[in-house]
Amino acid sequence: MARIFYDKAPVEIQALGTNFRETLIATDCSINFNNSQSPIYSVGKKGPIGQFPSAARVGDISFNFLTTITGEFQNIVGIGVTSERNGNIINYLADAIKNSTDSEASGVIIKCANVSGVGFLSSYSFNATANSISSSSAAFTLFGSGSDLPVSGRLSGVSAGVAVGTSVTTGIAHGRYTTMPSTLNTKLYDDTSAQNPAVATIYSADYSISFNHNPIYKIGQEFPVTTFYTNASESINVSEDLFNSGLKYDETAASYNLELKGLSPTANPMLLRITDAKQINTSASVGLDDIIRTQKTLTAAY
Amino acid sequence: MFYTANNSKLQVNGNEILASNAEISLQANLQPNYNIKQRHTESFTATNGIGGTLSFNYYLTGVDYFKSFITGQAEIPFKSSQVISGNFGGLNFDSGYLTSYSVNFSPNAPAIANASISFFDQLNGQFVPTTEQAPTDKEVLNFRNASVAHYIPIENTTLSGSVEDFVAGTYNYQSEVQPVYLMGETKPSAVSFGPKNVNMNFETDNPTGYLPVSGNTARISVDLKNTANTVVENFTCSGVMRGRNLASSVGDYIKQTINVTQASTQDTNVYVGAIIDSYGGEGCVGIGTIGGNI
Repeated sequence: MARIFYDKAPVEIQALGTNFRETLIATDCSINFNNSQSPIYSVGKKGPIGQFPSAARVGDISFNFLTTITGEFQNIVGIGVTSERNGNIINYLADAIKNSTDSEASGVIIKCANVSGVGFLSSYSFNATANSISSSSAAFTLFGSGSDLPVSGRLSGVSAGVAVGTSVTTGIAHGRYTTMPSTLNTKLYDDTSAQNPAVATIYSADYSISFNHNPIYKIGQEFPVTTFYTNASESINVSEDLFNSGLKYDETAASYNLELKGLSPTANPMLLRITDAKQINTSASVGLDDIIRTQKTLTAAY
Repeated sequence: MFYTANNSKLQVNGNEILASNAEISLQANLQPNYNIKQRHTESFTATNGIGGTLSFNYYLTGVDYFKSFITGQAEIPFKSSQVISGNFGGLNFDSGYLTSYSVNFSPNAPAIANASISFFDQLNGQFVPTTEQAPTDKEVLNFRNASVAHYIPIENTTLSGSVEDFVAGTYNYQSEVQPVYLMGETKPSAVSFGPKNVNMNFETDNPTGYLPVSGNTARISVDLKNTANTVVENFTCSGVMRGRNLASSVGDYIKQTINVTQASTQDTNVYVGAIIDSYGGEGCVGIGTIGGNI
C-alpha cells in the first residue's frame, strides 16, 4: 500500500533524447489511464454479448504549477529563441512545438511519484494578473508507442532533488513587474484627436494554447506506430477598461512578445511570442463596486 | 404492433448470426402496361420473378462460416453449402446465394463482416418475435490481435519502395449470380454464376507511385487471432496489385493505399488425374506414345 504525501510526488518533465529536465513547482497533478470498452449487442438477443475493447488505451496527465522562470534550455528551444531567453520547460516545449516544421512528434517523459509516461502536450496556459503570482497549467496526452504502455510505474515517494542536467528555477512570474507589450493595449481614435488616442489599461492577461496530435494506429498493434503533430491554436484573453466598439470585420494581424517577470525587475523574463494574432471579440461587463471591465480575445494559429 | 431488434433472430442455414444490424428487402418486378395512345394505365404485369436481398453486419467470433461460400459456391464439385437459406424473425427463404462479402480491418476495432445474400423467391412464413438472452460465451475478435503477412516483390527497383506497416484495409468479395427461369417458373430452377473476385485495399506506409503496366504480383494475408493468440481466421488475397492511391488532407498524414485483386477463388483445381483407355486401364493412349507426357 502506498501512502505518499504530496511532498514526495514531484512533477518532473524530461525532454526525450536529451538530458534536459525540470522539476516543476506543481500545485496539483492528476493522472488518468483509460481503456475503451463497448457493449456489443446482437439482433434477436436481449442483453449484450459482452463488453469488448474498441480503441487503444490512452492516458493523460494534467497539472497546475507556478509559472517558473528557469535558466536557459539550450538545444531544445524553439525557432527564434536566443540564448538570452529564459523560461520553464513547458514554455519552451510549447514554443518548440508550435514553431516546429517537423510533423513527427517525439513527446516528453512526465513523471509523478514514480508513475511515468511519454506524453504529447495537448494544452498549456498561464495567467498574469496585477500583484499576483502567475500560475500555469499543462495537460499531456499519453498514447504509448509500439509495445510501450502509455502509463507505467508504481506509486512511490520520490524526493525532489536537483539532478545533473536539471535546470533550476531562478524566479516565479509575478504581476508586479510584468508588463504587456504596448501594442496589445486597445487604442481608440476619434476624428478630432487622432493624435491622442484613448489607450486602455491592461489589468490581466490569460494565455492558452492547445495542440492537436494524430497518433497512427495499425492493425495487429494496440499502440501507435508514430504520432504526428498537426496544428495548434493559441489565444490570449486581455482584461482592460476600454470597449472597442469599432471591432473590424477583419482585424489586422500583429505579433506580440509577452515578457513575464519575477520580483526582480532586472532579471531575465520568461518570453513568449504570439505570431500573427487577430482580435476576434470584445466584451464589457460591470458589477457592484467595480469599474467597467472589458475583455478582448486574440487568436493565432500554427 | 412494434417489436425491437431483440425480437428478430437472424439465422442462415440454421446457424445463428450475431448481427449488429440486418435488412431484408423484397422486390417484385412489375411493369406498367400501356396501350398505344395511352399515357395512363392501371395495369401492371410481372416481367420477372420475385426476388430480394438479405444483408447484415455481424461480429466475427471464430471461424467465419460465410468464407466457405467464397471458395465453394458455384464450384465443382458442388458443395452442400451452395445454396443459402435464411430466416429473419420467422420470414424465410431457401434459395439464396452469397453475392458480396466484406470485412473492414481497422486498428483496435472489433472484427465485423458484412454479407449480402440474394434470393430468388418469395418470403415464406410470418414474423414471430423471439425473446432470448444473448450468449455470454462468445469472444468478439479484435484487429488488435491480427498479423499481416505479405509478399509484394516490388523491392527490386529504387522507385518501388517497400511496405513495412499495414495500417487498415478491407477485404471484399463479389460474385455475379443470375437466376435462370424456365417457361412457367416464377422461382428459378437454376442460377448461373458469373465471375467471382476478391480484392483487398490496404493502407500502407512508404508512399510510392510504382505500378507496372502489367500490374504487380502481390499477396496479402491477414491472420485474425483470439485473445489466446491462436489464429482462428485468415483473409488472403493473392493476385495482382493493380491500383495505388495517394491521398492527403489538412491535419492528416499522407495515406498510401494499394489494391490487390484476385480473380481465382476456387478451392479445388480441375486437373487430369489419369488417362484411361477403352478397357479401363490406366496408361498411355495412342500409337507410339510412351511415358507420362502426351
